[in-house]
Amino acid sequence: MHIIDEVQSTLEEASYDVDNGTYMVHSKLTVCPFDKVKEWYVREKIPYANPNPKSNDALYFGGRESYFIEFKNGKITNAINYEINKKIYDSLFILFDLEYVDRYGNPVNSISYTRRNMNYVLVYNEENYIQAGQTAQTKDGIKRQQAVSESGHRTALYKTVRKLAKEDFVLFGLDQFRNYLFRNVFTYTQKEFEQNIAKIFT
Amino acid sequence: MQLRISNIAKIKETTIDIDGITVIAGENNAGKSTIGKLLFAVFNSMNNMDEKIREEKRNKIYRTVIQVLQSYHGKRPDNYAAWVRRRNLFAKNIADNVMKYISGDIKQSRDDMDEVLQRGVKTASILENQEDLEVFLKECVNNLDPILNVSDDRIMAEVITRWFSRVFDNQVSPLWDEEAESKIELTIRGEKLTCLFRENTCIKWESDIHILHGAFYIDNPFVIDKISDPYGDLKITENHLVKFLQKEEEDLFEGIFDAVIAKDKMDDINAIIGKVITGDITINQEGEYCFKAGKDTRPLYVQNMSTGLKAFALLKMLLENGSIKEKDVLILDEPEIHLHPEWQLLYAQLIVLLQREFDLSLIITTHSPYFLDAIDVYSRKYNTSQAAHYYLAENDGVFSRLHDVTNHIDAIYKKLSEPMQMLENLRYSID
Repeated sequence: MHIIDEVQSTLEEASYDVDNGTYMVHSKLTVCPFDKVKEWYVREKIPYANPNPKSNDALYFGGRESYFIEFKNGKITNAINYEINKKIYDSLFILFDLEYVDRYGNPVNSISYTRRNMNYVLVYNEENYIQAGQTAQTKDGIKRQQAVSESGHRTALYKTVRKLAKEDFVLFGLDQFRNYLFRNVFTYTQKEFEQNIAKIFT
Repeated sequence: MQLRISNIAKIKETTIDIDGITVIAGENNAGKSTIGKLLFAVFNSMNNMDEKIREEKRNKIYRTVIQVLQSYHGKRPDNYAAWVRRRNLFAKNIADNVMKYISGDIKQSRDDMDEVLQRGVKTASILENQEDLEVFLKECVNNLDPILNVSDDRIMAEVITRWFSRVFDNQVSPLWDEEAESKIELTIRGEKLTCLFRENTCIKWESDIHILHGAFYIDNPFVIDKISDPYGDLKITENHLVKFLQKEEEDLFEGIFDAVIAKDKMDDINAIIGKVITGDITINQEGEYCFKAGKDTRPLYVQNMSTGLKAFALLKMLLENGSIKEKDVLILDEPEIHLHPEWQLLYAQLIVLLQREFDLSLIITTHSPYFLDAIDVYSRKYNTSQAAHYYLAENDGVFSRLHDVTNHIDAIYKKLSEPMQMLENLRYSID
């Protein structure tokens, strides 16, 4: 059995926030906890390397479309945003190296595949989203901190209007991956994710 | 009603339904305003057609008489200003009499018309030399003949040309081919009106429709500043609106306003306006329009009202002086521009109600998601949504096209919300 099919958990378990000891979502949907896959990959596939790859929390191969899912309970600071980006790239590299074949017999080995068939979902904590970020230490850091000013009301407004357009509003600059690494990118609060879960994973 | 047009300004070909509120959205430079301007020109050039034809003839006669006289006064008279006054008065009398002659009010032969002219010239001491007088009379009659022989259809074509030229600043013909034939076809309850243009000129028109209603074009609340001082450069749409804003309330009885009050229809409308405008607009002793918020406050000149207030005040005045009548056409070009979202909602509610109570035909262009949504929601609330139509204007480089998106308004929201995603992406791409 392929490691991706072998390692399993519920989505709830994959959403566990170690720092705060809480689950971000409570879905019992069976997914592949991709952190475990990464650990296996580092241990079994590249034993002589000394890498520090990051990985998305969950991978889900549904029907036609598949998903990488990442849970972020804390404030998404610049450092965390960088980490999210690295997780995306590392996870895709690892996935492509695993020679996995989807249920339709298509090899999952390139961004041509993920651009056609895979989506990315980031689930974030709405309360922490609007909190002030950590103090930036450098001049450039302060500049960036000022540039990326999160506003819950602004986001709510933009989301509402995008919804009227039957489009999703993508936060944290992750829209750059839409139609590039992934077919679609979603950034949901826990509530939105739970509301959309049936729609997302059909 | 349905409007079909081809080759007008930026628009290649389009069909628009107007059964109540028709919203046109789209980016800048996509031809959104063309439809409104066009309806304004059609309705205002073709309503009261008989009166327009009479007025046109009278003006032509007046100008012809003046022209002929001008070449016969010989050397400049000593008191030129007085002579001009006499000349104008004379020309006016001639024009009035000839019009009566044409309409059959005076049953007279051509000889009698000569007599009218002769007597007029003498009374006004315009020409003293008998020889001049005879030549003048002959030339006058010769010059008037072709005018009197012009068909009413041709006169109307000229009236239509003039209205369209002024509304479109001489750019009715398509920008990509100035020689192409432009066509306007308006259908109201199966009856048709057709106008053909070439090189900005109406070359043919036909109509089974007797247009009785007017059209108002509101695109700028600052037009209200001009009611106390209507001089200076005004667009034809503004000039037209200012005249109605200045209309005295005595005219109210000729309007439908009273009848509407009788039907208790105005209560909801007044209640909405009252939320924004808590006072009256009156004229002070100096003839200036003022807004008085309450008995303890000093009146404010209308030009000093906030722009948002002006937007509501315009409609309030047009309603109260009876200018807006049942079944009229109201064109609102981006009416939300000066309004905070809360007032955008109120404005939308107001016009949805106005449409319903006055059975108006409304053309609205907008760039605002709030306003668009408010029109949609209030149309549902007041059960008029079945008469609402939504169009998305798009410019493909040369032509503009209007797509009917009534059954998928989200196409409009997509256009309106894309810049939001662009900003969010930019926010995270700044180093």
